[in-house]
Amino acid sequence: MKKQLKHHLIAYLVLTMGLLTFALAYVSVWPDHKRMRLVALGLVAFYFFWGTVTHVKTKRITTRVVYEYATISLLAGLALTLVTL
Amino acid sequence: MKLYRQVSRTISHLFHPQRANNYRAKLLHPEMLLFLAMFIVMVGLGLVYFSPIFSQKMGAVLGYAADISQADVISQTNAQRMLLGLPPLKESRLLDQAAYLKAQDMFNKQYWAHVSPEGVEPWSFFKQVGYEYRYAGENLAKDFATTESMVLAWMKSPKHKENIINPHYTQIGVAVKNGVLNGVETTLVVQMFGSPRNGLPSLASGDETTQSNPAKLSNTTTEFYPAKAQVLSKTESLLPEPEFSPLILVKSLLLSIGVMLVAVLVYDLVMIRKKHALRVVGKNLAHLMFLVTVMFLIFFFKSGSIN
Repeated sequence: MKKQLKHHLIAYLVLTMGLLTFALAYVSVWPDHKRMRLVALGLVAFYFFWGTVTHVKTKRITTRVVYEYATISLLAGLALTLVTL
Repeated sequence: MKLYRQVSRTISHLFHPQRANNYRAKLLHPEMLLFLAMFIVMVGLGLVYFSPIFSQKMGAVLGYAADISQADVISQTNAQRMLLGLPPLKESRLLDQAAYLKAQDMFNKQYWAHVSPEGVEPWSFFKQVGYEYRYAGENLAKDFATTESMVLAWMKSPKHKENIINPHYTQIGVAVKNGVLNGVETTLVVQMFGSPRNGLPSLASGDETTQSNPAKLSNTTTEFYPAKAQVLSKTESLLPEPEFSPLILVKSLLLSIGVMLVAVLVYDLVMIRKKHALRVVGKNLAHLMFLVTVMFLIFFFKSGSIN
């Protein structure tokens, strides 16, 4: 894990900043559920693109990797939307 | 014995990275994640929309418990006004009554909006109680746990805040009412703002002047999610305390799945390091960070919404 972090420091920094930003945005727009869903969509899209771009840069991208990020993003997006119903 | 072996093989296949699942727990494969997503949607929607009906038939009570009182709402509203140097609003019994009628109407006709399904607008309740206004406004709320969180939500919303700090208003009426809305026990809070048409000084509660034609109606109303309803009518029957809310059910489901996925990811990470297996898959650490963030947001999500 430490090795992974060291090699991909910038990528993980970007991920951390992105997650923090979207998490704060999600909390700050409460209790406007419509805006919360939009922020959730943004978070999900950010994570999917982060994953894809990171793997493209490391030349370790396959269709299954893209599907994996897509399904995890979808799962998280649905979860964050479901609580706002 | 055969069954035991089959079950343990299935569990191993789902959770343990091995040759059979290409050294990646089956639960982390895109197909299983998609299945989980569909499961979450079906069960989650069922919990939100069908469990209130089911629980009512079983005699259980699904709903939101709140700790909000009429006096608290008025005092905290006035506190917000005074922070901005505005005079406090005086409680009007007529506006209290109008607010109560509005809350009653929403429960009777099962709607959650400023305008009823039949097109009855908020100011018709003003007229019903004989309050002739120069300016009028309405805020609605439901599902908030405390007065503080409700007022905070109001103040965060520009339209709702506009009603609270409107310098034209001189009087306020509030109803906090318990009831069942769309199968879930809930507390509606209706806030009515007004200033008498003829411009007479604000009257103490219990004494209203109503005259002249209605003047401007200030912009819409904000809706709040209810708090603990104060029953204004003596004929109201008491509802049992809600045992749990649909939100708690949904959160429990989502957090359980989240914990399971996090555990599987950690286990997968540890096992693959031990086996020194090479594979091209998504980054477990990134998935962990993402899922933990999402779980954190779900865990701390509070009930309450504004319309």
